[in-house]
Amino acid sequence: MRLFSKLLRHRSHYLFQNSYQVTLTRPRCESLFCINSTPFYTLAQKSPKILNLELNKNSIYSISGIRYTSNKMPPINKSVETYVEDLISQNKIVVFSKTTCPWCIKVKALFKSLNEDFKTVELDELSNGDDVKNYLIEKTNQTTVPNVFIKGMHIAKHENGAMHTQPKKGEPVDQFVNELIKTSRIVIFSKSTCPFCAKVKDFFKSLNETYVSVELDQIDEGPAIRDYLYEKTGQKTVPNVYVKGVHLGGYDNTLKAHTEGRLAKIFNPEEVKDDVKYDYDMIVIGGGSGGLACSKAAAANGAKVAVLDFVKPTPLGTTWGLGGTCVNVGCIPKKLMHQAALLGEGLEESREFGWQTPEKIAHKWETMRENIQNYIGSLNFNYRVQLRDKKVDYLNAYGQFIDKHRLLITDKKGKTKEITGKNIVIAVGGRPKYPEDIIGAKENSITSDDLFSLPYNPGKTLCVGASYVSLECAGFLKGIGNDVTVMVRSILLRGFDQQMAGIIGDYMEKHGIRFVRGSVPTEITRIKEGQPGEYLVKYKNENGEILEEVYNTVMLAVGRDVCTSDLNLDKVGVKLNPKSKKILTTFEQTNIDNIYAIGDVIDESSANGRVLELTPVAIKAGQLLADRIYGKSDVKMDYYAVPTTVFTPIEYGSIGYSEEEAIQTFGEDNVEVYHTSFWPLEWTVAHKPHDVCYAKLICNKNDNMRVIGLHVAGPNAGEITQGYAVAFKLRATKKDFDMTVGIHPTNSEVFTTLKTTKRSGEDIGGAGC
Amino acid sequence: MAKQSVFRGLQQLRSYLTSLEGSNKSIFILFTGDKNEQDGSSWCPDCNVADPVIHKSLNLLSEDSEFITCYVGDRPTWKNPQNEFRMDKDIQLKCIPTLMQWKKNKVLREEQCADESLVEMLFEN
Repeated sequence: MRLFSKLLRHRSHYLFQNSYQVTLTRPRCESLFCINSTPFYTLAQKSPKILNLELNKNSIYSISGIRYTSNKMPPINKSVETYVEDLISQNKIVVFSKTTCPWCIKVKALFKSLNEDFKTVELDELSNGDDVKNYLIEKTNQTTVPNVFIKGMHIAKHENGAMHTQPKKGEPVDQFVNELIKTSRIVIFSKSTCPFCAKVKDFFKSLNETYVSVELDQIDEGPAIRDYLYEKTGQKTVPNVYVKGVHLGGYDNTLKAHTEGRLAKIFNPEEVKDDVKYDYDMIVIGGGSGGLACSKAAAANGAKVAVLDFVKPTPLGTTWGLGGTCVNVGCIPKKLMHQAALLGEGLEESREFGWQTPEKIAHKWETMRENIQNYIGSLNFNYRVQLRDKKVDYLNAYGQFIDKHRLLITDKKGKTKEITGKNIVIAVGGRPKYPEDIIGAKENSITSDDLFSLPYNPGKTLCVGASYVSLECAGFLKGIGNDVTVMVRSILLRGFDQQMAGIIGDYMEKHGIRFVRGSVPTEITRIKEGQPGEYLVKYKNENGEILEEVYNTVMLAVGRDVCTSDLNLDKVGVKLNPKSKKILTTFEQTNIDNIYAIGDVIDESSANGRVLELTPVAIKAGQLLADRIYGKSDVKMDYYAVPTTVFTPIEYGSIGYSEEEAIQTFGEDNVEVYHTSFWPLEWTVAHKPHDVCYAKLICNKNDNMRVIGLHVAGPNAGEITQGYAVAFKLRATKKDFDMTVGIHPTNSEVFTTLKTTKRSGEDIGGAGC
Repeated sequence: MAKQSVFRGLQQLRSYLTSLEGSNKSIFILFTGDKNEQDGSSWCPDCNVADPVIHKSLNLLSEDSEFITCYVGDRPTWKNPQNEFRMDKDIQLKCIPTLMQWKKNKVLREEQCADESLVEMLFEN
């Protein structure tokens, strides 16, 4: 043993008498392992020898040392296999070791320091030590000592307070990974060359924690384990860290878990009283897209689940069924009314394609409304059928916290009841905002909550606000033939790429939608009853002048407020963002252990950028959350590169960074923007403008021209954008886009042929095939 | 209790539905397999299970609603992929029993029709 310590201390000269073979697996001599202890110097050749070694990674050296004379153990009366298997099944910890091996001594010292009882088998003291060794090699794929088993599971190699391990020969990787994270305090799936892996190991060392690592680049099963981890955790990269069975993620997330105190909680969990019986395993407050998805996923995992859904009527009295904003007063009716508008446009264009479409075509609001509402009714019904099918209790009541497990629920008739749940998921979403400083706003205007089920055509409409809701509604109302004005305080589509916002605004203006910019309403007065009635809107322009105009309908779309104020969250101490009143979450968990939140209502710290308030985001987050709570997987929601589309008269699809965000994050010099305008084939014959539709890719020059932003304005932008989102998930580069073959003739193909950079200033006018 | 009627085949059903157009009534249709004359049971076992459940809940329907039982034929007629109910653009029948609220796209299929709570949900809606 002394020999090896000497070897560690001095780099060049060694005085030895006998020889051992050693292999160096680390550049810093830290893990010098004896792989074959059979001396190849005989006693006759015991003249001292000087070795001059330069130690190289992974090379095998022979080093002569002092011959070790062992006290032979009595021979084993069993077959080697039975002997080993009995040992590891009957002892919590077994260390197969050699008396001369420094790492064996270290690992034994480690178990002693942990006050763990362990059984040691010194192979060099066994008469049939070589047979045991050979069996261990066959069993564990490991040629070295120490060879450690904990609770029957193979751990291996000791290195500076840490251990490596790898699957037994033929062991399925999923079984290996799951057993390992179940039985080990800290597991790091790592690569020996990865700097962040080294960092995360150093981090645990700094906490005086020992860990087990699996070096994926040094074992045959590495790729298979990596694939399984991707399936299990949604994470492709290393390090991939588990602490006490809880998935932490990579280096940054591990560090964050530490600074946020979550790591300490995992190490020292609060005592959980398991004898408490709850009415439900999970109660979801809010039956919108996210809440329904989460509740169904939880039920599929065997949990007893209730969903609370209660729609507070709008000031006008509009209310709706199960399913939340998207289904009832959002995406679904919006897209259908947008379709109504597109059809109208199509009818106009149809004449250019030979259709004898009559000059006078008219739209009937009531027919559209009824058909769309019927469809929504069927969705509401189907959601209820699905909840029944999945055995989820649907409670048409709203819930308020009494304590962290107890809710007071109130139904339509005002009847109250208390229910308890082990876990509670808040998925209440948001509702349109009524600005306090507009006199008469609540009485005399509608919001998107009312528009889609309005029994009459809204007539001449003022849409207040520059949100996508405002612009989309303005777009389809104009499209079905209404007189529409949009009143905006400052910029359009805050948070979206501003060049694209400009394209949408310009197109809408050319489409006949009037924009009143730099203005805000101050007062809305009803001057005539009716369906629609007439309303006088007073508004202040940028010069402070008060102007007025009469509209049939005023629709406010100045943003949304989350519905957190009535939940009594202060009673349980759930932390909110003081400004937005959104619930602060990390991986959808609030600061209270058993309370989670998903969807529009969260301010999520794990998110890369902002959490987009979108139905599919809430659905995905809800499903993943339920699967994590019930242990089906460790996959966390990835909020990066969520695709979205704005269904304005010219549609706008985007993924990833806006140009502004990209420049702010990576620096102007490091961002390359490829762009072009394009003329959809369908627009040519229809004599629609050739320079309106536009596509751009934003690339990170410092990251191999990784595509970090995609933006397109044109027909079917949603259909274009969705597919490219997969490319973002696969971290595609500009070259990958260039290597992709387009589909001709489509609009989407422009992304495969982008050549002009914005920096070049070259013309991007439409070209042919 | 709703007004109850029984039809055989698409043509009968269609002409009755046409006569109801513009009436704004809630119309519920049960598509089910033909019954034999001996014991009044259908060749379709699922229909036999659903039948009593649905009829038990009929009292939930309002006075001015319509409940239509529509027989889709014997087994060979129904199993024909070109069956008129399967091919009809508005009905697009996939399975029996099917209980639907006409024009409202609210549909219960197969064993759902035998789930009392689901049938009640449809009728109360």
